[in-house]
Amino acid sequence: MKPIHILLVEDNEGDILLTQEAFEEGKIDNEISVVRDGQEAVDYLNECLLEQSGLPDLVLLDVNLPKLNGHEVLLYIKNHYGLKHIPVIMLTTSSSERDILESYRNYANCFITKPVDVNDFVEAVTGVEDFWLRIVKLPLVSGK
Amino acid sequence: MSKWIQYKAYVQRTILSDLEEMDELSYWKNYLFSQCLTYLIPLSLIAIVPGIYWSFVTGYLQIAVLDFTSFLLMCMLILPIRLSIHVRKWLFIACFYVVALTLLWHLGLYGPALVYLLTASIFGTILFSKKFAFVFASINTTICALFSVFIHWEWVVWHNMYPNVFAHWIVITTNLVFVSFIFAAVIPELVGRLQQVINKQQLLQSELVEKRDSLEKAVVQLRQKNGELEQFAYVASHDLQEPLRMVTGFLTQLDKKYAEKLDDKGQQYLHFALDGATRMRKVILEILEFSRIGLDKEPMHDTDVQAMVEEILWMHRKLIRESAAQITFQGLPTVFVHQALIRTLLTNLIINAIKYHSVARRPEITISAKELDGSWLFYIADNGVGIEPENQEIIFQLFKRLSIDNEQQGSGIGLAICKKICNLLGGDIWVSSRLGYGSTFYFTLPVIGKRTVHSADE
Repeated sequence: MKPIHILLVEDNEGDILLTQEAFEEGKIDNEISVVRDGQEAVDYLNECLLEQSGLPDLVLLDVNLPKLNGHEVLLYIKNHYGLKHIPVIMLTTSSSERDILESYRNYANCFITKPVDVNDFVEAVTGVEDFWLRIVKLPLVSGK
Repeated sequence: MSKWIQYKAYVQRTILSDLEEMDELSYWKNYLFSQCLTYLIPLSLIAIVPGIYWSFVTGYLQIAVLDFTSFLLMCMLILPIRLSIHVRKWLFIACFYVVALTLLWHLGLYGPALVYLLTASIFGTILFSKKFAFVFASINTTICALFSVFIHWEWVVWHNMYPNVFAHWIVITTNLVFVSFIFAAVIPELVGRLQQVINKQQLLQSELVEKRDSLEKAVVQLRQKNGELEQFAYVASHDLQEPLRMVTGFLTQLDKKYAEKLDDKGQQYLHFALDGATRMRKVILEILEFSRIGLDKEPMHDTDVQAMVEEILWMHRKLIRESAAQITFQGLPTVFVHQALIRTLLTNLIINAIKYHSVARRPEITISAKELDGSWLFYIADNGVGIEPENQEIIFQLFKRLSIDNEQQGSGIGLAICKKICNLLGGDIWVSSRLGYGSTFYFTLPVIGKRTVHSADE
């Protein structure tokens, strides 16, 4: 089985490291690409589309990002024919009802509040892995 | 009857057409004047009709003319013509004096002249300002003196002039003068006092308005400050979470991956650091929770407390099972509240009751409610460790934890949150406890809306 490609959109260096380490402890072979702001995320995805390769199988998206915020990136992905099939998981510190509602309204696949406790965080990430990478069937389509 | 009321209203409107301050004494004097006129015109017919008749009979036609003219004048005074109220008053008094003088000239002691003289002076004292008080009494005195001269020199011819008429005149008129002066002295006193009372009233009123205004201002300021404070607490705790996550997160990673690389001392440092960070996180979460209460403008609903307690017990079934707690609840009503708030309140109290159980015995908890003086009084009784009397109030303060034992993971804020919620809902919360025997937490909620009570036992 080829490694799952995960795109992590996160500006907090610490969180990037934690997420990477959490996924490392996971059971599935995975490859993480990191972009640090909303614009970079959109550019990255567009480039993948152009080159017809390298599209991520899963996107972990933070809400609070510089340049374009998480919601805007989400809107972009879910309105783009070539991208909307990719599961997007909003992973963020904000537990504001408004953020949650808006994310689901824009067709985020799910919304997870980053747990403050790092063990819980690792658990959440491995949970994501378990659910999205092992249990759930992801489309084989990777870019068109 | 309504004709009378209409007539009264008409006179009042006409006389008081130049609106003055209702708080001024002059307004009430003018009001009295309008009342005088209102009653005088119809009542005067009692005197005038027989008066005119007897004038014709006895041949005193002048008196008939006088009666008629004076009545007309009175009626004219209530016409909506351009006449200031001051002029009307003078005309009113003048009319009385004219009538008095005419009657005096023609009838002397045998007519109602002196009555009118006295009446004129009384009205004058009432209707005019204080400085005129003695004027009218003096006028009366002058008239009486004048006529005594007339009598002495026989310039007046009355119906039956007997020799002692002069003496009689003096005797009667001195009484008149004396009474006139009494009224002149007393009425202004009353009026003066009334003025004082009115002034005091006005003063109090303006003071009240001032106080109320400053109070309103203070309330607005307070609300604003309060809102700012709540927002600050929320923002601070929210923004503190992220750096704290970094600290906790990486200390944990350090502990997980590099602990063996440290010596004992190093590991100790690490553990203390981690523990501190963990505790800090707890405190921040608690502050966040506390400051969040009441922020979500959730509407109020009719909430079935019985069902809510069942739900809470279900959600914490693991804890209940582990502590082997026996929980009974009954008589819980439906209340009109914010659901989220009451859920938090009940959850905190129930969890406390379970957590702070005595190791010596199995926890038994009773939850019930009864209606008392327009409020619901809820109580949650446990047979736990109890609380010392000196602590029974401070436990509701922020961050006051009583148990040092880590086993009983007390949240320092649970009861502070309960208290805040109770206050928000318009109720109160307190505890009654015996050390070693158990505690009963009471809280009240105002009754709003319909009441239905469950009496089922479970």
